[in-house]
Amino acid sequence: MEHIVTMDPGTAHDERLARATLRLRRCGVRPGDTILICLPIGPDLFFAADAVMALGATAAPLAPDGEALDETVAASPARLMISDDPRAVTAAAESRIRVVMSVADLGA
Amino acid sequence: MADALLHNLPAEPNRFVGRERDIDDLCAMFHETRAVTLCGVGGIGKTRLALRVAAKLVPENADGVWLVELARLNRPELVLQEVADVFRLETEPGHSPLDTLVARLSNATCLIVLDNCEHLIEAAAHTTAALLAMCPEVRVLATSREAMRIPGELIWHVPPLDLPGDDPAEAESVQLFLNRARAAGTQLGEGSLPDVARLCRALDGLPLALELAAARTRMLSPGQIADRIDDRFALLTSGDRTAPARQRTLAAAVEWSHDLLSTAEKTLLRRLSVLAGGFDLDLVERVCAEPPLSDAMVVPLLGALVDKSLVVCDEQRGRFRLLDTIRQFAADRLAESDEERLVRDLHLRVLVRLQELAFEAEFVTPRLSWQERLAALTGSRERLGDQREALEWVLRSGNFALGLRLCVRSSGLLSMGGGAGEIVSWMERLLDQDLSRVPRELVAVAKGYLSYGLLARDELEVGLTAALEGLAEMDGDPFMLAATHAIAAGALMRMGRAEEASAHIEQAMTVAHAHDDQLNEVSALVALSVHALRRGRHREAQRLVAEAHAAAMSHGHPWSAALATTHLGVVAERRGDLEAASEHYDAAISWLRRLDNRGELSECLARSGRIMALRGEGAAAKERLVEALAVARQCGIRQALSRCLASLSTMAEAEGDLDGAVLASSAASSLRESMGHKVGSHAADELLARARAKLGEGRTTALWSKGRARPPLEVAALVLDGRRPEPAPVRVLQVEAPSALLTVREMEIAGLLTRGLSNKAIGEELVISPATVARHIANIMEKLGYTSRAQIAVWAAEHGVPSA
Repeated sequence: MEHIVTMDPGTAHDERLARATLRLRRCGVRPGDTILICLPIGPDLFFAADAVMALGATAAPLAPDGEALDETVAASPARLMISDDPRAVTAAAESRIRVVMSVADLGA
Repeated sequence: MADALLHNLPAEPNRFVGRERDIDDLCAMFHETRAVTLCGVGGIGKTRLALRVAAKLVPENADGVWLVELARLNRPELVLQEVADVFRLETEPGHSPLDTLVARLSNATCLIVLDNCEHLIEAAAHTTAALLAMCPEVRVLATSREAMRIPGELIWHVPPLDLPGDDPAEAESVQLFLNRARAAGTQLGEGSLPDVARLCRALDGLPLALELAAARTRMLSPGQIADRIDDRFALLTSGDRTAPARQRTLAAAVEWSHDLLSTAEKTLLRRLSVLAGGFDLDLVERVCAEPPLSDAMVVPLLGALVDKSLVVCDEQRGRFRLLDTIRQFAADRLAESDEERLVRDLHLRVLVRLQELAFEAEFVTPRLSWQERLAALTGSRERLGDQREALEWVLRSGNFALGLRLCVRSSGLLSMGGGAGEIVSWMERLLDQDLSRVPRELVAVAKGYLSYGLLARDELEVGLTAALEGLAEMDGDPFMLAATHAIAAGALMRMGRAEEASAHIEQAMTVAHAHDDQLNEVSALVALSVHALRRGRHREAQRLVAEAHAAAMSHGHPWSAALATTHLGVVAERRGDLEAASEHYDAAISWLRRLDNRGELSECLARSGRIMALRGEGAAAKERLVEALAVARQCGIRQALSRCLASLSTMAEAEGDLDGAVLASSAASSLRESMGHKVGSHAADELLARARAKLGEGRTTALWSKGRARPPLEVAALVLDGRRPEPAPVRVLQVEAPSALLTVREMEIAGLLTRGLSNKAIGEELVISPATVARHIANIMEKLGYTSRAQIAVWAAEHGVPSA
């Protein structure tokens, strides 16, 4: 028996979201984890937050140009950070963050 | 055909504390990711974490988990060689180690742990990238201070241990400190917990810093240590003041621990930094006991350094080593002292002396037992790491004469156990220096060694030139003179210049005879016998090889014994005496087992198996060939594998299995082709003619192409079992995902997906938020192992999940 499955072109965003959740999970994200998202306000930030929440993890947004960025990153209990910001990426090396994902890694 | 031992991971020296979630995460990552690099500063615990993860992954890797330690390698080209050594691959003449490694691992499911990559990061990255690209089931776990930066790599930053929070006793850092303090003989009560917590915070949860501090708890309380460490930060003298905080914390802890040492302990520690990883007491006494220390002081001082966790003792093997971070610190202290040149020169001289003694015992001294020869070879090989350190010092200090002396007496580099290894690159590097003050005789001997290595790499022209240049100026070292004549003869023979070769063989013979040099006498006699056999003079060949055999037995080196005995077999086979040939090959096999030269062992097993088959001893022949194939696969020498397949073809035909004979022969042919060797062989052509006559043209051609289309080892297994290749196997259908795994809500969403709805539309239908829909979809993908919404939709449609 044949089945025809149609996909609405309008669901492309949802497809990407589904894939992003998969990539996060592969990097060790579990429900209940805190994930730092250090991205400027815009579609990427919302996309990343949606993906994090879809896994049941907590999204902790952090403004790239904010004050005390280094200290916030260093004090964060997050295991993973999503960011393209060079300062945040450097700060992650002196924190408890295990994996840094870029927006591109997320497939956004 | 999995190897018996499935890992080479060392036993853990003490209890591993904490990081449970990290270990679980990292293990799970290898299901999807093929390269993970554990990054972080020295002393943060990258290696311990990697070894822990690796140990957990042993059951998932049918072909094992293999640790490759890079810390003490100092040349990029050694990375690949070290990996090949761990897999016990031997050098294939004319092929790069990468080529051999990829051929060996192309079908293997294994994890390779590359430990301490930072100083050779490009070579490590290059090797990893090549393995990922060409060996689909090989995974790599690396530890490094910086990432490899290759496609597909997941960079994982190792954090310090958890710092104490509300319940200090639960924190990983506190647990590690208490565990190590107990091991040092200190029981710390509840009352000391606040001080321990303060110390753990001061040390930033860095495992190495905690271990160094815990080793001092018999003299100082945790509170006293915490105070002193704080003071240390102000006084930090080593390292970069702008370095990241963790690096500075670690430097402070190491400096503090070092400052507490006695003067004599400090002296020994810095001197130990010149020794290669894994040293024994004997070498410490020879290299590190100069005044102000003495022989008698070495053992107690070394014990004191072990107690302070600055030196690690491997009690099983009676060897010691410095952790990489400590060694670098100690090497810096040595460089600051006024004794670096003294210690390194002494290390070099000690190495030259030990290697010269071993060389004499292995090759030159007449009439020793094979056990004595092998002990000398083993000792020489174990000093390979130290020899590399000493040769690096030669290049820095300019003592090229000692460097050349070291190289020309090192059988670890020559390796008669198989593989020409590194000799060429060291020799070329040294011969490139200004050698105007080095005796010409020594340079000439060095060229003789260079030629040996070049020929082992199939570089005939340059090898011959080096040998002839060496011969022109050599005198005073009759062993090398004879050996170089034999090397030149070997090159000429392979170039088809038999007459010129004979002249060199005669000279090798004369020199060897005059100096009671049995080893070179054996080689020369065997070469003469080969020459006689080629001209059809069987009696002369027999007389020469019998003489060679007698000399080899008297000399005692398993290498020459195997050489002469194998050739006895060849001569017997040629004159048609299969029974004698079989006995000689048996004897040669036992010599090669002693020598652990697996390339030649495999070839000899294959020869023996063929003779047995021809004599109608099918079962014994099969046993031999099974082992020959296993050994050839393990050591990675395709030349040997090709000989095994040829013998297998002979065996199959002898048993009336002409199909099998054609299959094995075609597999051998495709293997030779893949190595870039000439394809056709006289025996294969004759076999094909017989097959065409009996089986017909069509069937023969079909079998030939089937044998070429599959991996050689698979063909070998089929022929051994008397099975024939099946048509291409039907693709195994994916196991049906059980719908019972999904919750009612997830089934609903899967059904709605078949209508192509967006998350928002599904949310409206079910009156939940789009974010919740996304969460359900993430869970469905996890449960069903899918990677997109579309896959879920197809699955739901095929399983008739209702869409409304």
